[in-house]
Amino acid sequence: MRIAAAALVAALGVAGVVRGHDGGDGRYATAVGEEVLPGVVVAAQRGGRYSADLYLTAALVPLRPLGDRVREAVVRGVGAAGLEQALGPVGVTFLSVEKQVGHP
Amino acid sequence: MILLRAVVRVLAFVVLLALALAGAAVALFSIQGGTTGLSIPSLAELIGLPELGGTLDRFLAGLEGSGAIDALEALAGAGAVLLGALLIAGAVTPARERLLSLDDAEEGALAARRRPLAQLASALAERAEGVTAVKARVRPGRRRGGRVTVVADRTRPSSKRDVCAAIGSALDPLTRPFGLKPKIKTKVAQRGGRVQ
Repeated sequence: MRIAAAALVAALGVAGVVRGHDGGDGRYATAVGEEVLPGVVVAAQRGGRYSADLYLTAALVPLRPLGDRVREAVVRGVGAAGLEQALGPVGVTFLSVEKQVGHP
Repeated sequence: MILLRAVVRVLAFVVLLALALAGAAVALFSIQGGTTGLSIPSLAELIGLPELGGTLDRFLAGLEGSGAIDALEALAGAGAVLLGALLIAGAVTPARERLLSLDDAEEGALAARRRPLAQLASALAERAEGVTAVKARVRPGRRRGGRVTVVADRTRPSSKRDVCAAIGSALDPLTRPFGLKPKIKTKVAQRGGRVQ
């Protein structure tokens, strides 16, 4: 569950990511104790690793480069939390985009 | 599964509509008592319920009889069971998320829902010269890629060809990485449209 928190925090720190998206019905969320982390799902993989899938609302920006930046940030963030050995594939899915105030 | 879901929705709507109409009819016919004129007995007579009841009784008696089951009846029964199972499956199976895949590498997938891509397509197409309003729709392909359909309003002096070309270029940052085929339609904007 620490992976979920670290991955979400890292993803939210990327410029262009607005917030985590729980899918509308909470299917893309992880419960950590009493706290719910919307927009991140961590699943066990073979070899003792965990995949981290991020579901995000993005700003109106090119999604491909943003997705790559999110992936890199998640790998860095999870690594900084000392969990890089446990991290498997990192998936990024954009569920909505949002025109931010001030955006033309 | 999408077809089943659609069938269930249509069927549910039709059944609810029929129930509502039947309820309204019963209420109307029940206003007056008695067995003639506008009353429940005469309504039943009107739609042939006594005859239907008799036919059903004979059918059920035939089914319960000791003789061999008619192949047609057995087939109809099996069909009804199958239809029921399919309708239940259509109602309870969760809808599969229709995503457009951008990258399916071993280190993780990159994908997006159709709606944000359509929003991006609209935002990009609106920047094209001569465009006053845009509606965009994205349909994912069976395996990869898909199609983005853009319907744009254009100013009267602009040419259809130029606007289509400009929209095509504007959509490039979206269509190329996602493997989307653009389909662009334009029409002259009505009065009151946004002026560019």
